[in-house]
Amino acid sequence: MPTYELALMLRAMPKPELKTTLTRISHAIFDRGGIIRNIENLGFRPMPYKTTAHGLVHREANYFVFKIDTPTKAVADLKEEYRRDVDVVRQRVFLSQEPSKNDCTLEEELLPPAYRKDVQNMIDAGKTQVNRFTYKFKYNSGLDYYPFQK
Amino acid sequence: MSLSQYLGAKSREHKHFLLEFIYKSENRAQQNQFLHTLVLRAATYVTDCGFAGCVPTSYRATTARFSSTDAKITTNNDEPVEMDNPYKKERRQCILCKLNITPDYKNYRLLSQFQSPYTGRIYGRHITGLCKAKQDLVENEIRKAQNCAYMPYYYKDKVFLKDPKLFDPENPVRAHRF
Repeated sequence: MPTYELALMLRAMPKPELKTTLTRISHAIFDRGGIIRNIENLGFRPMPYKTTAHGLVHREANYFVFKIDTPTKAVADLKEEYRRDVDVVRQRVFLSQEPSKNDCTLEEELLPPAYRKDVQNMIDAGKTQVNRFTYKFKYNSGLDYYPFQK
Repeated sequence: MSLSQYLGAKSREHKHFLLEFIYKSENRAQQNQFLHTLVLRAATYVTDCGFAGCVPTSYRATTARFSSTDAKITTNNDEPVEMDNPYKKERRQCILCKLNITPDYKNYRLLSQFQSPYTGRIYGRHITGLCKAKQDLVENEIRKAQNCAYMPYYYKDKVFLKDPKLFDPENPVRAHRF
């Protein structure tokens, strides 16, 4: 089961209601054979843009991030369920990503173009192409004159 | 402490007498010996009170003279030494790689530093000075954060406007396209 991050925006509501909503959301995950690794509360804050959900305009939202392990097939089902939930203003699911461990290539990128690997590859690719400025069509007729009317 | 004190001369006249004695001495060997002791004593006494004026120039630095045939000097200290290039430049790194930061869509405060305060658009690689991989990551995470309503699309959050500048958009690494 891959790890997903479920970013949820819940509508402004009193705390007990919020609690029941979070419980409902969590149970939806458990019912589909998923587990919750972590729940992050990013707080109640104004949204950068207003959002319409279930016939209401929302300018503020409770931000939550669920880190869940769930079967891949269950994700679409979960999203469909949350779409029907009137307390969920907006929801996004991302695959949780590990911090990449590649070295910085800035030094190579700052070299003059002739020394850059991608530019060299481009020049090599250009050499395999037909030069349209010097290309001359060959008739291959074996005649030293053009047999047709010009 | 003056030179005359150092030489053991009681007075200025005495000092002049001593020097006069050196110059006028008939015996060449005696004169040389006297001068040598004088110079050895004066060599440790660093002063510029006319020292160069009162001693012949050839004796200014005669504390120790080594010749090429001297046994002490003939050790091979002067051979080339195996070492790394001392003038090799340090490998440049982008700021996120240097500080080992992986941009994340939840950290929208960091991401907003790569956003124009006027239009909310993401600055290019020639302005941010990031490496290709990190720039791609930053752009993707900004798009995710904007989609999640953590970050605005068309402006920068006014709370973050006074955050420190990571780069100067007026001075790009390479010229602007426009």
